[in-house]
Amino acid sequence: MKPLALNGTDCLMLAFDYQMRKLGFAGNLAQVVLGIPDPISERQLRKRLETIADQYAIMTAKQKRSLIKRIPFWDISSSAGRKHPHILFHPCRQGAAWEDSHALKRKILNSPLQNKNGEWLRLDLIELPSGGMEVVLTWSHALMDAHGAEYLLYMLGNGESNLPPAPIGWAREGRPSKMEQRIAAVNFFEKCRQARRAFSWIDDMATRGPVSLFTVNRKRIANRLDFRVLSFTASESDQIRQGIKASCGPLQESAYYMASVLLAFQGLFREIGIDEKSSVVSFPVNLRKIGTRFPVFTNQAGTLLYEFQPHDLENFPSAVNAFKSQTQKAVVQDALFANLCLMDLSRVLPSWYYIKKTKQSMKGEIASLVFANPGRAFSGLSRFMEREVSYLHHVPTVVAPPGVGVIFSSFEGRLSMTLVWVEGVLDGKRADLLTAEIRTRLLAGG
Amino acid sequence: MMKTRQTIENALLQYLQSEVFDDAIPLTAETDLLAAGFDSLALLKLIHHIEESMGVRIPESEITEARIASVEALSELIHSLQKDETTSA
Repeated sequence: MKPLALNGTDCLMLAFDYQMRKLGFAGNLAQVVLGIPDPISERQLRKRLETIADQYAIMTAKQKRSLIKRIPFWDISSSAGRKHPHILFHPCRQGAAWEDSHALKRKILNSPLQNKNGEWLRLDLIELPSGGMEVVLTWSHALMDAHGAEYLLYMLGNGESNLPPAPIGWAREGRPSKMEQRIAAVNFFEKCRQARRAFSWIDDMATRGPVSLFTVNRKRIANRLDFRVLSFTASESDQIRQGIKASCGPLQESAYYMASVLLAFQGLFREIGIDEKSSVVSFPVNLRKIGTRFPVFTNQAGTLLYEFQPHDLENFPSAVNAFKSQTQKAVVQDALFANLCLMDLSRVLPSWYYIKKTKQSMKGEIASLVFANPGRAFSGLSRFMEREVSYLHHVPTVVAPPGVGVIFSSFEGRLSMTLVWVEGVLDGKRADLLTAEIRTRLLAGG
Repeated sequence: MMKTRQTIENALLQYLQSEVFDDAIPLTAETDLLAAGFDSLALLKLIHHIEESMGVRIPESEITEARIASVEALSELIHSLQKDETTSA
């Protein structure tokens, strides 16, 4: 079978995986958590997983790097005869409290996958005291992004009859995004020119030096991640949507969320006494066309960097305007394309070298915060193995630095936000305060 | 030269279907764009495309939910802005 080359974003995720493992973390992982009202059969789920893994060999393939071109690729043939992904069952302990359940989930988030052996994902089934169950899909970000992961869960939860015909859905060549087609159409020199443009934007931000919780707390950093999930009811989510429309205009969810989060963080920076330099936010943008989750097993995303100087964070409207004007500028200047060209060139660089160059360019900081808003979860996930899904949220890994990030998503009209941090950058108490502050700001209507 | 509303509608449909929406969402002039998942980046790209290809500038104050609800509503907006520009010229 023809080797399947990784695209630029896949390679960046791979480089971050290298960076995280080097620092003693589990890797560059991410999770989707589904809550269902009653337990599912582990055996039945395993059968479905095996069927899908047999059909989509990339799920257990090894990654290799070509000797001459140096571009990493999936060696699909290496998956033959490999073990299927693991499913781990965690029975409910009588009288288990929230702390016990959270400790278990934190342990799962910090358990590495054996990528070298072709282990790119794992499923954990957690029995809940309420009688329900949580299904946790943990995957390595080098395999796919959150949109792909949602679709994989959909395939798992909705039986074999719904599977898309292979290889469409996973083969990047079979369904390239518009951006990939554009990149393929430009020559090497144009790619270099675009990459230089992307680097000059980063360098410009670096001259002011981003504010960083990571640097301030460097001595206290542990190689573990922790998280808090902030969930809103249907009526609270409606209230937030009304607030978005009234204060930011239509389709401005990201502007509203980012302004609320940054103002809450600014309060924290002031409380700790960190110098008010600019905040740099890394914001991944989905490149798939609206209405599709294909291709599944790949990262179809570019990154936009936003910078908020102290005067941008004077109040809510100024933060929203700073976001809007930078997005507008990015569209006019075709910044996503430049960013993707930069990442495409990085395919030929070894992971350690790529990380070294990236850190150098941002004085070791990369960003103050990672922010993601994949939007509405895939509607097909409203049912999982004949059960109605009660809730869904994402738990991403945040690379260190910056070691702190937030992800927003909505499921069945209900909004949720997950705050993730490297232990030491925040502690549980501060994270609770920060989460409460973000919640208040989101509900306040701007 | 001023474009007819139908020409604008066709051009918008062609752009949105080829650049923004997957084939799984077949667009018509009446399709509810917001319900179909239209997002802020797609909107900005569309506005930029309109400015570049039609020479019409859409002020932020004109971007309301009703105006961007469908290709039909957007075409109406562009057509009226085009008329305003022609009149003021």
